[in-house]
Amino acid sequence: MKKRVLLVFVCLCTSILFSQEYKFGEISKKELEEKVYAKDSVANAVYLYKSRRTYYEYNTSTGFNIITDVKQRIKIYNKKGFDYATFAINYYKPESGAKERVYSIKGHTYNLVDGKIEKTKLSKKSIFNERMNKYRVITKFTMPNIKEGTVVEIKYQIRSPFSIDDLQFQYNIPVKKLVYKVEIPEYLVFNQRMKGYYFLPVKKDRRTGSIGSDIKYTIHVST
Amino acid sequence: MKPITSKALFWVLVILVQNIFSQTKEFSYLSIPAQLKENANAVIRLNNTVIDVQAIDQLSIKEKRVVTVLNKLGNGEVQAYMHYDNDSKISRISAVVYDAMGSKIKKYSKSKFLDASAVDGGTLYSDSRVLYLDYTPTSYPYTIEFETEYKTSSTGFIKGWFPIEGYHISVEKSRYVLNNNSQLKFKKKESNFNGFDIENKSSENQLSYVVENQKAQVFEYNAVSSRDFLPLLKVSLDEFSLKGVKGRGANWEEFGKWMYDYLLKDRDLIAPKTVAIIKKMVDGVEDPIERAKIVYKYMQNKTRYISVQVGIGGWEPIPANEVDKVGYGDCKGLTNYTKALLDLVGVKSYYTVVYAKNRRDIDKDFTSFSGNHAILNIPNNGKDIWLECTSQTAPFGFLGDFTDDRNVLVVTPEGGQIKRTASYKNEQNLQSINAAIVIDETGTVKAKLKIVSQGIQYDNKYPIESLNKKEQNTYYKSSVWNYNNNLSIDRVVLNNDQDKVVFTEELSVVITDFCAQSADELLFKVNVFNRNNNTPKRYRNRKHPLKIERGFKDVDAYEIEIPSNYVVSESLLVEKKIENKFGNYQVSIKRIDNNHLSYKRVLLIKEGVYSKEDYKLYRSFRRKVAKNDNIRIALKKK
Repeated sequence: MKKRVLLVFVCLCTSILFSQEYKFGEISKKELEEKVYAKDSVANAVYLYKSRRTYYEYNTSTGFNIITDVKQRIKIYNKKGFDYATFAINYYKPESGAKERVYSIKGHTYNLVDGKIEKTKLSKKSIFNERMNKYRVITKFTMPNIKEGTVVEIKYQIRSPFSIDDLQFQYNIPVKKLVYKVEIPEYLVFNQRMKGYYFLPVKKDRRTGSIGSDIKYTIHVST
Repeated sequence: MKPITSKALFWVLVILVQNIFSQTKEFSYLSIPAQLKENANAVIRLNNTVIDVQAIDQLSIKEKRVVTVLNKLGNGEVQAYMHYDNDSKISRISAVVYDAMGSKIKKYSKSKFLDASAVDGGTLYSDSRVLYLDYTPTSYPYTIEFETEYKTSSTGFIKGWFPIEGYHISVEKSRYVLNNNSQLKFKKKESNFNGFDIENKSSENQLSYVVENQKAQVFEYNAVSSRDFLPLLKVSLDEFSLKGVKGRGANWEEFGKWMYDYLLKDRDLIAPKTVAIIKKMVDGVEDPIERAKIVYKYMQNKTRYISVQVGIGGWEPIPANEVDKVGYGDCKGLTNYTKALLDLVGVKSYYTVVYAKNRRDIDKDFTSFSGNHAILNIPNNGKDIWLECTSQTAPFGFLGDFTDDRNVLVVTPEGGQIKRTASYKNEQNLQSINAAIVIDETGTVKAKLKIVSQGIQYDNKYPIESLNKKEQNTYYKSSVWNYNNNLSIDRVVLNNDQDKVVFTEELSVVITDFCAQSADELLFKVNVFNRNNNTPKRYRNRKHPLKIERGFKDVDAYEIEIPSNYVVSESLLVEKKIENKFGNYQVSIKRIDNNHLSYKRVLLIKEGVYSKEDYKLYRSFRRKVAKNDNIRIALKKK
């Protein structure tokens, strides 16, 4: 078992790169001051940034697990956009057997008060788990202090022993920047199929992963 | 049609004979009396409810419900589901499905029922859950026998009895028994029992009712609510427990006092930071109503409606400082928050419980947990002001059709009071349209118009303010003037006067080819902008009284310019007036000068309940209105 394994990874990556960096917990005044979305003036809200990184982690007892990190930053322009401050994460969690789990949900609401940025944290108390049925659970929460012009951001992680969820690129509201990254070990082969009108360029890359200190493998990174 | 062969007939006989001798086929479709199948989509074969009140926090219900579904419209009547939450337990639940002949097809035990959350779309979270049977019928008729046993520690709500559950459902037998094994006092109210053959064997500590062989009721439009004419029994305990909190409510005063002391008191603290903001905002404003307006506006801008119901949270508002912190709440939370803010500026207000949406009174004569919404009452020295706290756009003091004109429970520190909310009647729901219309020789109509709406018509209109251009366009083309093809809207100016509660629309529109054209004539439908084509459905044998839910008044005045080389013959000018107890209708077309006409129209409909014989008259009135709203006149070429 000490043999080194080099793996080839297939990675699909779609990203449109802008010069602006999005860092969780940091926000610019400009984002808060914006009154309408220039490219679509009727938008009630906009995803300023939406990212998802899905990768595999090896665990000696359970094998490969899929981990998905999600980050979202949303600008809310008016009252009709308030619904975008409420989130529902729907995942497979049967009463017994292998299940998906949601971890470390964090969120902030940003408002401009007298020219200063006011930051309100999402409280753990206002996160609810609703068992939809025998198999599925929805984790629901709504952000505090929502006003016209608010920016909210959230992040969370889903760990799953199953498969990779579909990647969605378009929503009911415009998306300003979206970064999806999928990293797949060379042992696994996925077909990819793209639907819709637009062809999205996929950047492929590879890197090396390791299991403990012994096994090294290649990861296919798609961005 | 295929003739029935003697062989087939033989087998039919064999099956029939088998059925007669078989004991288990009690649920056969054939045993339903013919009159119960008339107009019915489903038949309740048996509905047996036995409720045992053991103690203030112990209640059990046993139910058996057998429903034969005759066609697919009756599927909803099976109702093989049971709600539960954290303080109740379903100890037994089972179902058996039978075919048309009453033979058992399938049996479901508790583990075969599906368990789901029963959180409705408008709610973020609640602990309400449901066990339900997922059965897809393969043929009709079929029968489902559904049995449950349920225990709860909340005795605030006691299931009553509404044996004829609605329209197009008949009842073979329905039985209701309540055993009071506790020392607690209970009260009951029987409504609409007259005219129904209900067997009553109640004694001091027991209620017992049976009704049998009730034909299906037929649904009719513009009728009174079925709760107002079908038998209804309400039951409640004078002392009860609700999610672990003990309560009392022999009458509304006591009930209100309990609500105030246990659910509302001390939940109105506000953080000093907000107190300072509010005090500063009303600084210099002396009039209490003006102060209340400022506070209401502040609340509307700060909050939004999100509903979270945990534990007793279904009845208790979240504390005001919590709403202040997160900026959201449900109707209870937002109402309580507004009350707390008003207290800060010295305006007295009271939390109020109401049935929202479909107009329904809180029963003044029967105290029990009632209502599904909360609003705020400002007594204002006898001239009540009512505030809807879940809307970010409603004008101050305006309820609209959501909660208007009904009995509500006002909760004061001294106890509960029944009051009636503001009403918007008939002429108050006014819409007036003034238009200047120009017809050109091609039959195209250009018009500038001003629409002013008040009362409930304001309520219907003001949401268009928040539509975007495209949605506005669709609204006018598809909802308002769907009878006008080729309509284009050049200009829309909206004005929402929240102080006066008046909504004004100013529009410029063009309707190409509005007039039908022939060689020397243009046919012009005079009522361009407000055609009322609603004709009530015809009933050969109307059963229920007529109810006009909402009165309104429309006033229209158009000045019409016709092309200079056209004339209107004198004989086409109209003057008509209809007046009756349902309202009135006036229409006139007059000549102003050679190429100007004036069109005037008034339609007033009065709300009210009228006898079933009146329905015919009302229908004929509305038909005449529709006919006259479609008057065409011919413009002749000179």
